[in-house]
Amino acid sequence: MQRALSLDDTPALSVPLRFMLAAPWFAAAAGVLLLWHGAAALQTRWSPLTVALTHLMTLGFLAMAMAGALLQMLPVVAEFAVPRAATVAGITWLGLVAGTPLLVAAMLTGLPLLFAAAALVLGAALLAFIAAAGLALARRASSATMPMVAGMRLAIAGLCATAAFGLTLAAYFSGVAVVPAPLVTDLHAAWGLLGWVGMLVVAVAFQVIPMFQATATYPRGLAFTLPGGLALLLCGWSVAVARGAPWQGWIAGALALALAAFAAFSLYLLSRRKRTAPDVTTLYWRVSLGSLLACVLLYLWPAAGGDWRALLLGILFIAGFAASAVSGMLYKIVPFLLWYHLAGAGLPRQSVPGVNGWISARDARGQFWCHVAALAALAAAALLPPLARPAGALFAADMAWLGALFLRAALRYRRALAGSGAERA
Amino acid sequence: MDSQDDILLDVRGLLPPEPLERVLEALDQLTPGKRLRMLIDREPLPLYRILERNGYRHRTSMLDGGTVEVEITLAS
Repeated sequence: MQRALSLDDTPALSVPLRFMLAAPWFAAAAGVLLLWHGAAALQTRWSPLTVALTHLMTLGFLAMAMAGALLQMLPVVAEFAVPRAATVAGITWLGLVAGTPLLVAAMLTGLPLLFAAAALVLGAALLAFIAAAGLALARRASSATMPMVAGMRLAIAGLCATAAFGLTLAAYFSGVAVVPAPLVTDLHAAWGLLGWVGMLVVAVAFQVIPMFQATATYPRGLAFTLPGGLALLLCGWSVAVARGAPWQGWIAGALALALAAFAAFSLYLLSRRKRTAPDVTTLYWRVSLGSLLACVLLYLWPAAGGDWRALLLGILFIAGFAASAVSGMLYKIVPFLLWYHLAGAGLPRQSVPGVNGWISARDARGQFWCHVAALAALAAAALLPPLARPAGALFAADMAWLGALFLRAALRYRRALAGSGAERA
Repeated sequence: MDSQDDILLDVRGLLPPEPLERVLEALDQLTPGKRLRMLIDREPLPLYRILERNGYRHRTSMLDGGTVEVEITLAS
């Protein structure tokens, strides 16, 4: 019998794991919705169906996984204890699990009562999370963690702005407030995608790409200035859009170029990594950063226009850039957490699979290539609507596969723990 | 100062979290009077907290070429 190890300040396994096990199934539901409705879901970014599908991805998959990852990372990597982590995790998880389908139902039916209910549930979940993460991040950071922590602070501020604009829209659709809905929608989308999702991926990439991919580090100048620069540009753009200023296009262009610089430099670092054999996370980073670069190029391309352009931008950013980065990171985090908690439980070492023993490389590669095929089909479907159904089916399979791999690993953890309990008894 | 009771663990070139995995395994072999010498590419900050909480002493020194050496012993 090995002695049980007390494993630093890491939160209980259930705190982050529940988020990571649930997230892929919301993305799979987005695929099923696309399969169900076909081309109608990919006609314009303003259609309720498209907006519902988008929120399954952004709230159900991205916010869910990113909240779980932050609850894990804040105490361990950034050395900030999250106050009442178990309670916050419970409220946030339940709120997202219940609130996301409520919001999707509200969007699909247009019922004011459902919008109000979704706003209450999601508002409570996000408030609990923002307050806890904000309190943890308000503490002084050590210089080693600083560029990442600064970016995380900005990302939480971005989430706060996104939630505020989102709740304003929900109030509008519930019939309790009159607001300029198209403007608030643009602000909500920009802050959600760039200020929250983009900011967090950028901030975390500065730390995890060099550490987990054995690349050179990012220049400190870039790591320190990019998150702040993105935030300033986003604020400037918001003011310009609200005032209808003609220079809004220039600020948007500068934002796009800043993201392109990040993507290009990260791809350059990955191309010169010290290890030659890429793991599934390396592959996911390449697809993620390549999608971001493609998204920016499409945005800056002067001749491109029409509904398909906005849809393709959304597909490249959400499914291509953000979902790929998050999936790749989950492949690192989930097996590590399972191993870490089992290794600390005092089980005989031989009964604890190593970090690489929880998900086989073959399964991970298969799932990765399914994801690439789904992305290609989604991008093609933005231009050729009859492809929407096959794209939806592929994306649902892609994300269900990811969810099933994590679920299987978690069940194995439970069996290992239960087995050891039986032996001890 | 080498001793035949030393356990040498070279995890240079391994990607996180493999070094942590290896050192936790190696701690099982550490008995009173023995010393575990770990060579690693960067300072393993999360490991320090685990060691301190579980009754191990550790001392870190920087070697040439950016290698970090961590000496681990059982606290008496």
